[in-house]
Amino acid sequence: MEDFIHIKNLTVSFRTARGLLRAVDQVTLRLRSGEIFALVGESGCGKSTLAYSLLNLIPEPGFFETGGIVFQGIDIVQAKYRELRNLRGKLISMVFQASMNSFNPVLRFKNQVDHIFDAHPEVWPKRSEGYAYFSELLTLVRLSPDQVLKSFPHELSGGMKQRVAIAISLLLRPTMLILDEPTTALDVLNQRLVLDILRDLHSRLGLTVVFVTHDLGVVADIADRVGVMYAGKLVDVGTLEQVFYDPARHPYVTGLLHAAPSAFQAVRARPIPGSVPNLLELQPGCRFAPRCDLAESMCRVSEPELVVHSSGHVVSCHVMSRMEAKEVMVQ
Amino acid sequence: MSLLSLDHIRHRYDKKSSQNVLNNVSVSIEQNDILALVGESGCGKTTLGKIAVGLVKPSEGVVSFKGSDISGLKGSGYHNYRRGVQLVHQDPYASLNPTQSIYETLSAGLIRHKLCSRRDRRDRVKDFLKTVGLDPTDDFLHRYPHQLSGGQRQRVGVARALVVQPQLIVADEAVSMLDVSMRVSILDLLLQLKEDRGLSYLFITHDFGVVRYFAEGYRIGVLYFGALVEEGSCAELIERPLHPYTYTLLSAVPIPDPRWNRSRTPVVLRNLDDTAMPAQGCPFVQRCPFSDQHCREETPPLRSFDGQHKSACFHPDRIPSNLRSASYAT
Repeated sequence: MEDFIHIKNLTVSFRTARGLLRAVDQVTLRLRSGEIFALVGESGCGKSTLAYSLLNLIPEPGFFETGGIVFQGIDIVQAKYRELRNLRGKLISMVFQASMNSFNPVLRFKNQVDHIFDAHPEVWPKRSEGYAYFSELLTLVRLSPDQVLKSFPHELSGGMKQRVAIAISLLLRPTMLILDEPTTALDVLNQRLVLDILRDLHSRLGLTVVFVTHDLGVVADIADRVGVMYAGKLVDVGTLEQVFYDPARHPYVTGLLHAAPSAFQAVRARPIPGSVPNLLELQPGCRFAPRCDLAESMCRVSEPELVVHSSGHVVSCHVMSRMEAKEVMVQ
Repeated sequence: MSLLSLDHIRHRYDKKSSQNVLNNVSVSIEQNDILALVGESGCGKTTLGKIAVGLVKPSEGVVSFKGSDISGLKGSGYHNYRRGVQLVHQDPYASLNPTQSIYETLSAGLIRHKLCSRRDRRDRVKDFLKTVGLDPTDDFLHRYPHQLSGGQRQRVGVARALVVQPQLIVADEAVSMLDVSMRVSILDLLLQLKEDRGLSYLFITHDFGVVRYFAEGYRIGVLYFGALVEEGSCAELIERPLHPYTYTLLSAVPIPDPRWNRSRTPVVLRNLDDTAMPAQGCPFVQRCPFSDQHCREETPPLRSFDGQHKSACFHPDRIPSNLRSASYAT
């Protein structure tokens, strides 16, 4: 599959009173056309910042320190205002975290989209066609357009509003959709419904989807490929099968999988000991080493690079890479 | 005599509305006991928790603490009840006063209930910080909430509930805002406190994984639209649900195991957006894949099947028993 977006050595930093905080630290990642890519990690790992970078939406005092993001021949990091206007919402669209609470409370849903049409009259020159497409999208997210269009935000449930937010994000016919924690505030049944709908939209509209979440259960349900971030670093990239079953995955991923208690299995969940490092006071070596069962002296000295294993699984771990190398040598 | 019992609780926030937030719910908790309440957003589980701690007065029904009706309690009796039942809130980012140091937050309960002399106060607060694992305690005493991580804040929330030495803690989604790697450590802390102090918990959540971990060996109650539709022992209810709502919830739970996910029977989601209660019959009837005429005409009562396991369903035999599957990722 071709590269859809190529993130090259991207560092996003924030100037703070106590020094430079690298929220995303030298991340390299290729997204493929038409895939559902899940970006996973705990709060503060940089997954949302990386997602925002794809739209060049880094707020002050943040800035791009190094690297670039190549998309359809342009570098998003260097892009001019006019190029960004053409990109945001039109080529790449985003459903922000808690976007279901971002509606204007005094407008009916029919009028919530007016400013989008005003900003991009070139996409829907005839406004009536724009509204018709909005109705079509509402049907795709399994809402009744007649009922929703005349409603105010407070008249719909949280799950319904989240689906309206998804429909609005697709209004300008983007080729790629980024969703930041779209199921987090929803209960189990609405979460299930949103996942079913996203799968449906993905295949019908041929979208490339980036799904930002902390929930590995949701990832297992929807993703084709997965990237796991820890403390600003991308530590593991692979297919769904690789990330969940490859024994050579990053120890942090194993820790996460064991940390979540399961409803159906009596296996005792184990928390990952310790806590996430402060990005302003990083120690040398692997960022996960202080919490890692497998850490060796080397892990406390040098920071591991992302290494492509023979299986194609990309992992940044000294221990796992050495095990891999042995396997390769034996073969 | 139960530690806390809620009998035939009905509640409505709006007196003009005909829809009850809680509809004839009865639950009870013993000493050193756990009752977990599960349900989706809006089912009334938080309201039930607030009624249990006395923050909301139910429209109808009786709340009794150690056998006495709390609406009749006055003076020291009422004080004892309020002290005995404490709440741990859902959101550790919103439930701590940002202008108060940890010491001020934790000593407030000691002062209010006159539990120790001024001289001992500092040491008492430090003891509780140590109990919840915030060590070195001197380090935390004069910090403010914004200087703590989410997990640490939730530990402060637990310590705040503990300082007045309660017998029952109502934990309302106490771990749902925390990162996965932290959740289990807070749950372990709560379980340890139960062992050490004989505490009881009313544990409110929507996460079956968390419930299984926390309430294994104890009871789960499932709330749907303000009604208790199923109650049973933790393992029994999760592995062999007797109410179609519980079954639907369980089959929608995302499982971090792609192979298992693919082999699961897909969930039937019917009329999820239809939030109006049917005028008569079973409250779940519009969404239920197994309903028939009987369910539309009559409301099924909560009745007992093999002992402790209760369900408000006419046809628990129609529920498939294929939830559990053999394989699981390691």
